[in-house]
Order: sequence, then C-alpha cells, then structure tokens
Amino acid sequence: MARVLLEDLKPGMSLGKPVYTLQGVLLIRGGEVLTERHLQMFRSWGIEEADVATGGAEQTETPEGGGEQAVPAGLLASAQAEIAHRFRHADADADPAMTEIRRQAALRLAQHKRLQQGPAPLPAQETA
Amino acid sequence: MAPRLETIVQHIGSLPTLPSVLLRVNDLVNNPKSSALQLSRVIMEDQALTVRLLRLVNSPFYGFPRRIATVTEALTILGFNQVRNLLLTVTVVDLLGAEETADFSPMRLWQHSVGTAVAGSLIAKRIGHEDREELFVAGLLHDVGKLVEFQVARKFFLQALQVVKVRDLLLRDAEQEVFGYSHDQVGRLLGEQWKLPVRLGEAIACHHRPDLAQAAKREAAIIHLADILSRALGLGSGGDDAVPPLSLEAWQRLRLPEASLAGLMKELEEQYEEAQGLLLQRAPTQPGSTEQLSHVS
Repeated sequence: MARVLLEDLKPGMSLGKPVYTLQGVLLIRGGEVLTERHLQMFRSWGIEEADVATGGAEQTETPEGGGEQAVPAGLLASAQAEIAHRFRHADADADPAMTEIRRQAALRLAQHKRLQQGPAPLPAQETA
Repeated sequence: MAPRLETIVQHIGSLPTLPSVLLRVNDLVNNPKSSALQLSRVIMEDQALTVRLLRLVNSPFYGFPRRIATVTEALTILGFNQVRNLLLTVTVVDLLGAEETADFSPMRLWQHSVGTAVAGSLIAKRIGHEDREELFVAGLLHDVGKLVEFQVARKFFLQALQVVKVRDLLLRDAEQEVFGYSHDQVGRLLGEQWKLPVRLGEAIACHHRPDLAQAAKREAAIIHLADILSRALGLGSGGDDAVPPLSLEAWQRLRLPEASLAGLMKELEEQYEEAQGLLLQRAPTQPGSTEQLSHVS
C-alpha cells in the first residue's frame, strides 16, 4: 500500500483503502480500480491523496484452474459440443483470445449443467 | 422489395421518439453553459423518470457506495453525461419494447442487449475507461437496428431470420442479402435521429466493424467484444445463436490479457442476472406507455 497524491493518481490504479469525503461520507470502496471519473470526483470533493494497492500492478485475476476437474467429464464434453456449435462461425482455433472465450464458455455451461442436475450426485448411485 | 435504407429512416419517424424530457436533457448536456439546477428542473418535471433514475443509481447493481437522494446530487456527484446515459438506460427498453411473436422474441433480444451492456461496462472497468455508463448504454442499444427493422419492415426482417435458419448465416449477413444493409447501419441512423453523442452512436454503428470507427475506436472495440461474450454465454438471443468472429484489431486495441477473460465472463454472468431483473422485469406490456410520447413541451 502506498499513499499517492492526487496529481500522481492514474486511472487503472486500484485503491488500497476506501476514500471518504472530508465530512466522512464514503466516496469509493477499497479495492475499486480508479477511473478518470473517480479522479474528477476527488477533485470536486477536495480529496488530495489516496492509498493505492501495491505489489503486482495487475489487479488480482482469479485463475480459473480448478474449474475443469470440478465438473464430471461427461458433462464437460456435452457442454463443449454445445459451445463448439455456438462458435461455428467464429473461427476460434485461429486466435488464442477466441479459444479462451470458447473454453470459458464451455466450462461455465458445464458448471450450470451440473447445478441443474440438482444435489451433488453420490458416486455409484443410480437415482437421479 | 425491402425498403431502402433511406426509407427505413423515414419510417423511423413513426417510431417512438425519445421523451421530450430526454431531448431537452440532451440539449442541456451538450451545452457547456448549462447548470445542474437547469438540468435537475427539467428531469424532475417527469416524476416517473426521476424515480427510476434514483432507483437505478441506488441499486446494488449500480453499486454507488452511498445513497444518492436527489437529482441534483446525482448530477453533482456523477456528472451530466453520466446522468444522461442513466436516463437513456431507464427509458429505451420501454420505449422500443415490442410484442412477442412466434418467429422473433424482442424480449430475448433485450436480454442479449443487457448482457452486452453489462459486458461493455465490465470491459470498460478492466481497461480503466473513464465512462462505463456510456458503454453500458451502447451495449443496451447496439442491436436497436433489429428492433427498428422488426417494427417497420417486419416481413423482410422475418425473411432474414428465415435465411439465418435455413442457410445457417449470421443475421447480419442475412440482412445484407434481404435488405442490402444491416442493423448496425440502421442503429446509426436511429442514433442520429435521437441526437445521441457521436461516440455512443459510433460504438453502436461499428460493433460489427470496429475497424471502421473513427471517433470511437476503443468504444466500438469494447462493444464488439461485449457482443461476443454475451453470445458466448448464451445470454438472451440476438436473432441468431452463433458467435461472430473476433476482430483481431479490436482485441489488440483493448490490450486485455487472455487470463482476464475467465474473471470477466464469471462477473458477466453474475451481474447479468441483477441487471436483467432491474431493467427487464416489469409488467410485461404497458399499453398505456404512449403517455410518454404525448408529453411534448
């Protein structure tokens, strides 16, 4: 965390602590990523400095690693097939960003399918 | 023969116009000499609009950290542009709502549009864009051209949907065949008619061809990607169920790491539910909504 003067604050920085007006009214929550609009608000409310999160300039991304094994393989395969059809015009193989969008869409669909199946199925039990 | 693009414009004249309050707000926002007092007076003439504006800014979805109790407060804290965009947001769905038919569901299109709006706003946040609200409205309006076609040239619009089904085309390509133009071009004209800010109009007009944008390259790129994410997750339906190709130029312009997509799409699904509830779940049809139209200054 570092205290940064208004003139040095930039859009894209994320706040380490909430910002309050001089009257003590909460303006922006901690953790928010600053935009130009926030900076305008600081100027109009006379805020002169703010605490900015440091260490890894990037905001925290949640790596979605564990998603894949959390879903039964059969569900994932059927979700992948459905999504592949939805992406038939998109030429997703040609482009890493599109490949990732397709992968995430399939993961999310598989997770929804699992939720729709109701309570977590006990292994080797036939009743649905 | 399908109506020519110019004819569609004339028909747009028969579509609902923006409520006069919004047109006047537009004029005031575009005039640097306007004061918050003038603006708040105009907005507050419309009680229903005022209530909906304050409900939106105080909703958990909007997420402003403290209560905004009055229009004047909204104008001073959020700014004029922002408030104009919020007013548009609470107005357009009712204004352009259309009855459901067997072949086409305007409600599903609105769902797709809300998905695109939320995605646009989330992408804007990720890349530190200064005006998330503008991108929310742009997403909400990006496909209005389809509604215009549905309202004023229904036979041909349904024909285009048929082409989509039979030959598995994207709706935009089917429109090109049937009309000789597509909904993004119609959207541009509606934006002009409504005197929307240039950047907003261009984001709508160029969402399929972000490379053609001039004043709004970044905004068009955002809505282009937002449309794709909303379709990828199957939020509503844009009239075809396929994801269009991603423009490499647009993607590169946004400089988003690929690793950010997982988080973006997760947030999109979550916020979509909230936004949908806020904007689309109302009495299904309001036959009396024409009162907005007769409200001429």
